[in-house]
Amino acid sequence: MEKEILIWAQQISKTFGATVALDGVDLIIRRGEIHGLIGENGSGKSTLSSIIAGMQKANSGEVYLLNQKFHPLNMIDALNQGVGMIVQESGTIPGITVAENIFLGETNRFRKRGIISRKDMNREAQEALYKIGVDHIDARALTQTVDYQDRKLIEIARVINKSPQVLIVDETTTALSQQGREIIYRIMDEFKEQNKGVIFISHDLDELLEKCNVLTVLRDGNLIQSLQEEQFDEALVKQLMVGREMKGSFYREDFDGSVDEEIVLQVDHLSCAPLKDVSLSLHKGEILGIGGLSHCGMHTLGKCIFGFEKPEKGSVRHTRTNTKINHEAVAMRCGLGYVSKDRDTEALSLNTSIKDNISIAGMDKLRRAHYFLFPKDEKKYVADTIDALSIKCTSMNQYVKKLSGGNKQKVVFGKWIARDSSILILDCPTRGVDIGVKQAMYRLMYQLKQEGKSCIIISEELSELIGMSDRILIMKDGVISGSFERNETLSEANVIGSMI
Amino acid sequence: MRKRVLAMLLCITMTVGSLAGCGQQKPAEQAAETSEADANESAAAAETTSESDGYEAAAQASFDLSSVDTIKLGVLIYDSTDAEVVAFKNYYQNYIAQNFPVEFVYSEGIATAEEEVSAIENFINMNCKGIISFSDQDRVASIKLCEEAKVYYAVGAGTLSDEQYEELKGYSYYVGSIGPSLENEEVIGYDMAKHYIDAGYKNFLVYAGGYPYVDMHMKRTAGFIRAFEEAGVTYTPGDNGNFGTFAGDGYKIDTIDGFPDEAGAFFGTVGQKVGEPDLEVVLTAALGVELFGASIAQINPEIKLATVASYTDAYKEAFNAEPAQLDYLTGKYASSIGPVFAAMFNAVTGNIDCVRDNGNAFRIDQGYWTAIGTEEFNTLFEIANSTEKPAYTADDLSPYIKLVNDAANFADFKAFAEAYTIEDIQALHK
Amino acid sequence: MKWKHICRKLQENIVQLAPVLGLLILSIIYYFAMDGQISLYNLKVILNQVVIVAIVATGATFIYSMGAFDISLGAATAVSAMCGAVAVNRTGSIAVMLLTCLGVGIVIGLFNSTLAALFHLPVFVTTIAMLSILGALTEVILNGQSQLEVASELVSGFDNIIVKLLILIVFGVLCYSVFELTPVGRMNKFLGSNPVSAKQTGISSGKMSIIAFFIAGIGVGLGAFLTIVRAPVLGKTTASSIGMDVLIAIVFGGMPISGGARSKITAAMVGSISIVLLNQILPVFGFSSGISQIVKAVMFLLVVFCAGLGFRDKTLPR
Repeated sequence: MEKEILIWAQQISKTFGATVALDGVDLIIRRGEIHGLIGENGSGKSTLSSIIAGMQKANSGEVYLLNQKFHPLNMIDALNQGVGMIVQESGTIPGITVAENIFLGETNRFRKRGIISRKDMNREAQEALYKIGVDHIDARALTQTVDYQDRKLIEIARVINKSPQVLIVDETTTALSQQGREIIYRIMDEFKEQNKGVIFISHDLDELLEKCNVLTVLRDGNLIQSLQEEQFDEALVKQLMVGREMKGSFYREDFDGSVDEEIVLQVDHLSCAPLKDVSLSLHKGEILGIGGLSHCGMHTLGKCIFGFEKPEKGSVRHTRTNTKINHEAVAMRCGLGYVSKDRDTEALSLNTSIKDNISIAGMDKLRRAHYFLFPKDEKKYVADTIDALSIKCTSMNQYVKKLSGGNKQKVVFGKWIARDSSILILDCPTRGVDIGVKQAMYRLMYQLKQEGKSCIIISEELSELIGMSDRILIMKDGVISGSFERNETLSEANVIGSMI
Repeated sequence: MRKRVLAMLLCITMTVGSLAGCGQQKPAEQAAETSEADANESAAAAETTSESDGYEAAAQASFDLSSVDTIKLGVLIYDSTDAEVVAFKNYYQNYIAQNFPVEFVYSEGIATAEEEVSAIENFINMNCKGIISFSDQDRVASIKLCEEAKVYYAVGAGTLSDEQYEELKGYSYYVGSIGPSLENEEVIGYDMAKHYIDAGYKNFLVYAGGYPYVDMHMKRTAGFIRAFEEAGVTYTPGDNGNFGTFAGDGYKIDTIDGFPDEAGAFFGTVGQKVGEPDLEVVLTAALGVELFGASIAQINPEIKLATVASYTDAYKEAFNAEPAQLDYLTGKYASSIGPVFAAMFNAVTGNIDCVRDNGNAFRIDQGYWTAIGTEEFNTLFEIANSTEKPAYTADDLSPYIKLVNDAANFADFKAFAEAYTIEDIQALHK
Repeated sequence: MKWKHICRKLQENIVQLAPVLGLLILSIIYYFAMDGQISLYNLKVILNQVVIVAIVATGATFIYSMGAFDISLGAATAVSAMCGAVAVNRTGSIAVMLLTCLGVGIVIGLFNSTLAALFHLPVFVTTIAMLSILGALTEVILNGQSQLEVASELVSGFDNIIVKLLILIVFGVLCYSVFELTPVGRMNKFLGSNPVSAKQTGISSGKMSIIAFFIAGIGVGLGAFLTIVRAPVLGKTTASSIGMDVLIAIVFGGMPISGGARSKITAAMVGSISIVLLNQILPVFGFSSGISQIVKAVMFLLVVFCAGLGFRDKTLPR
């Protein structure tokens, strides 16, 4: 017997100008379901979930919650009626305390004779955090003093504290470390056990296949198919997502981890909180993976190598020119390129055209007679890059903020590829990127390797590291705790041991 | 989105509001409308409104120039908020423009030579036929600029130095200047000091203003010095031409000069000097009430304050305060600028010849009015600012305007402009 | 299909075109305000008033495009002009005067930017300090006098429209070339839109601000030179309005005050003509001194507001 229907979205359509985001989608969520939504960027999964959560209104169609028409005014109203959502972007407000964020909009509840009792509020907030298994955040702290991941946890606590019937998790896990993910997974399991419903949106297919009992694939605003647990098959899902059969494998196919003898980059005894005395060498034509938990120091390592952060001790040396890299400009002269994990705030200037974002890194390449820059050269330089990476855009003058996540990432890659960088430092290069683009990125990395260029991939996704790297270094608490050569038998289980 | 629309509306409202606020063009009409609207409530109130608002109740001129097209004249002013300028504007705007076919446009407050040039250029661009100047940044440059553009220029209150006059008098678009000559400035300083010396006062504080950089202040102070020296006081000049010190039998004469700065030290010194025991009289070359009024009122209201300024509301208040803040005033009066208008009007109507001094631009001395004591001040103030009959009415000016009186000539005009004493003015109206 | 395409193109470019459109409308209003009688003299006057602001503003565009904010431009112009005046009075040489103006302008700019680069301060902060220092300097140079005069026959030879136009064109072309045809403009704009990303692309904000302030310093120096030529009597408040005029001109020219990708080197030119025309038009419609200031302020807000529509992320400078 099928369980009771919690949410029934009927014939939901939504357009943004000329773009059809959703085209008559039907979705049913039953009790006890962890319902995965998957699709490429722009397939409509976020739009669908945000309509259900009251963030925006559909152009047509109805949503029913427990057989009642469900018309939430906004997200808070939806939450009060039993549909809570943890959003993709950070939903906490800086400048107020953690407790105030948890009880956003209902601080009056703690009013006693006209005065808000902070003591009561802080106590309840702390309890709400405990309830989701978080004990390291102080409810009295100012929100901006806790890090990005903990802010996400605060948001989760806020939603869970209202005991919603349906929980929507929108790509939250990409922002979380393993520990954070465990918390989310546990909460989702609890919802399932309590016969409530979960809508789970993620780019990570493995995660979805493992956690969900129903998986719905969306493509171009249409619902393609809903799969029950027994129908789950990775290849089938990928095929449904992109609408064609995925040729070849996702990662590189060879297991030859051997690399050129020549060392192109030498890192010696680097210390820069939280890094402690890290040394490594990067060979020509090597893909070096660096993994670990998000606070292990690997992101800082990437920034230090590129000269963006100044190390307290130690040095980074470009061996061919014997140059000490202590500044971004020096790094670039040595052929280094750096893709930050914070794409929208660090790697790109959003309110700037694709052209400027790509050409800005290539000024030294475009200059003629030392000083001059010809618009014609610049246009060709950018057009070639857009072509080579097939960046989907209306023109090279389009602002980057209008592009989808995958295409934004292609622009970031483009700015380094265009200037023919020989050493790329890629920090979480495939975060928030859909499968199609992801595969293209992996191909590109492999192609660079074959051209004799070197990459450092810093990633929290072990499967990606194992799939792509010639060598994997695992970091823990600022030091390298493990090193693994590429081989067929290497599995996540081997690696995790060094991480925790 | 709604916020943006609201903000947009607010902006538009502000623009419209400021447009509406520019009612200065026709305050008389507006006032009249208002008073009509209020008539039911209180006829008396309505009358007061219209009376206080300007000159529209003044007797209409006996001549008719309605056939002449309206001529645009530019007026350069040094500070649009200054009481004297407000009084000048009021006379031109609300009296002269009602009786002659002219329209006045005013510059913004002019503080630099650059702004003076821009303002003149703007007047020329707006097709002003003549410019009356109350601004003194770079007169020679201004006159040359107007000559080049073929626009008449006249100095409304002030004069040129001998050197400048010699250089510029032959310019055919330079009409001339009416105002106190520098000699005259010296005389008023002398008269002021003399008045108190003769009255037997012995204990003075002398304020020299911008000595020696501001010519007017320097001349007035020179007048003080001459009067004191005649009384047997020795004056020792300061270094580098700066203001010096006095020493003499039976007299105690303290000095101060300069202007207030941001640090506020100036007012501290003023307070200290005014606080000297036995101080009887403060002689100021300028800005007496502004700089010394408050200190005197607080420390010793018995001290007599004398200054050079103008017959405006601010000084009326000072004289009529209890006790009076000001004892002696030599000053300009609003309608003193009547004759220069008459000369300019002749020039822009093609009759500049009747105000030519032997074919040259004129330089006419027009002194100040002096009031000693509240009673005299109030009498003079009435005449200077009369709403019924300004010192120079349209009919007073008409004999010297060629379009009205074909016999108008320079000799008569000069005599008329130079006869500026109260007796002369009162004689006019008889 | 085709006209739809044109419509969309137009819509995309409307923000780009708005300032030119505004200038066109102002020109038309001016034409009617003058009853269609526009003489060569009128044009000369407009140009005379445009030149100084346009030059200072064009130089300053380099500063504004990188999202920095200089409020000391007017004071810098005044001090350069005064130093130039002192120099010409001592030596009687116009060349020395020009070099002094340029030198002082550049030194002030470099001082601003080096200070900012050295102490990692926002440029805005150093220019506030600079404003007081320069104010004090004018007092020192005036030495208690209210005016500083230059013999007008010395400079009057330069008070002609050809010279001014020549200076404007040469400086304009120079700035245009540096901004559009060398990496400086791109880097400035990129710094203005995202300083972190710019740093990660190897752009040194210290170096760029030194270049920007150097060029702005040349603009200030030329502006100072022309200020003396235009009115050889300098006072305490000389050039005091330039800082504000520059800001208004840049904004009227269609550039966001926060700089960034939409910065345009031509904004200064378009904007300064607009503002001079506006100055000419307002009195014709009977706006008296105080009120025309208010009208200008309101229009300034309107332009900033409209420019921010649909581009709301960041309207204020850092």
